[in-house]
Amino acid sequence: MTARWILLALLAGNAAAAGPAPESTLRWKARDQTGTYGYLIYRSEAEAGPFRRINARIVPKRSDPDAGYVYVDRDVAPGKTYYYRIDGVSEAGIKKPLSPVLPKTIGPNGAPAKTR
Amino acid sequence: MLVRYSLSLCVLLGVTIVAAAEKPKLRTQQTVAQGSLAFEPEDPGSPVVELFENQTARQTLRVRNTGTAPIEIRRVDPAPPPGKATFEPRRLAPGEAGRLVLEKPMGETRGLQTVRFHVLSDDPVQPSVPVSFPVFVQSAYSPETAEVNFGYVGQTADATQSVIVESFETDRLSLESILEKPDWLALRAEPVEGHPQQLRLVTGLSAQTPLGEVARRVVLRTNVAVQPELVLSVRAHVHGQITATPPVLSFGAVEQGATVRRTIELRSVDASPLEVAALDHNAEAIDLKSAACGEGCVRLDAQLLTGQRRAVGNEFIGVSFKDRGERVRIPYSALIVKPGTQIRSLGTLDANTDVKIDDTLEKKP
Repeated sequence: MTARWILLALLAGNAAAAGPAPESTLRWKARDQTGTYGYLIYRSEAEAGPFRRINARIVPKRSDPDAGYVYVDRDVAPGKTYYYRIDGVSEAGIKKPLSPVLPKTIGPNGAPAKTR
Repeated sequence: MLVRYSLSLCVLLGVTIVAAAEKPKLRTQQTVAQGSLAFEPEDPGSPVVELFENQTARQTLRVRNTGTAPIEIRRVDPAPPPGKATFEPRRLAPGEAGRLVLEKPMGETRGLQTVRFHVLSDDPVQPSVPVSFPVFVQSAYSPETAEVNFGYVGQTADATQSVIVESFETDRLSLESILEKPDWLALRAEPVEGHPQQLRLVTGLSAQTPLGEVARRVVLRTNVAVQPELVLSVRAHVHGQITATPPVLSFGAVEQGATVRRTIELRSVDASPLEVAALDHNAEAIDLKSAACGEGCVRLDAQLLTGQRRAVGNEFIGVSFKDRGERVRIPYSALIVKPGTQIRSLGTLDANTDVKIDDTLEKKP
């Protein structure tokens, strides 16, 4: 795999609550997707972990590299801070970190979420 | 063509690789026969089966007899084995549908692959129907291939090497048992402070480590439920009382007919006298001469014989010494090419690197 995973935007989340169910929206782009199969999303409640994968199935690579990716995490609670990281995985099954660990605080219902 | 040469270069350079699996054609996930049997996945929403190493891929298909006569399914064979298929009913009336469950143990080959089976029936139009489905095999660990390499090391050096392994498939990674390990290798697992999902594997060579190039697999059992087996690859090039510089001889890519020489210096570690008793080598590939080079030193002058274009790999020079039991083994490799061949890059081969050679070399005579 020769792909370089370059994150252009992460956790651009206006996340917030749509009605009673809060959610956290992750958005990202990878500049070079050569050899990429898809993406793995991990979440933790502490910066140092432990992290757990939250996408049951790998987020598949899109053919249009400019389209970007969106993943909505609905298993979140208002007022809590979560830490996310995204890994790319190549067609050969090799994982590579795409993002650093980034925190995101879920706002109360109707309020915008904070991304530090 | 490139793949062919990459593989030949791997042999040449003595590198062990696992050939990349053929890229599956995702659109063939549903295979429709030309005959009377038609197949479709029972769950069309899951185009690729995702699983971890050593798990079994399962795909359930609905099989329908679209013809006008009954069809009996005789056998469903994995291609290649191993694999298992169960189907019911065996005999399908016209218009009738059955269920076919395909199971394939995936082993340690990672990445996107295609699992294939053949359905054998008494359909006179197409008695053998290929069915396939794509799978993606992932590792529960990072790095996916854990490796420690001791390099060129003395047998009594008490050398240690460590590697950190991580898994996000458990909150706290721990070692439960060692399933496979050579006796000469010591191994312990240490927690990594502040990173409970990581484990530091510390390995050490004992004085019983065999001399020469050593490559062994260590299999550990961890608490990761989805993939308990963790494989650690251990490499070392071990010397005893005599060292070789360089320990491995690489002539690289050389033109046919060129004169290429390399020198190897053999030294006793305690500077005691050293005298060659015998040289063991392929006389059609290499010409060798030895000469003393001071106390406890012998110099070998090696000339590659370049009369024929070929890849030289898996060959070695064996040196025996007078009054010493120790024998030195020096692997060597070369690629003898047509004069004028341009080699754009000849890098170190690993899982992420390929070797590119221009068309003049790729077109074999």
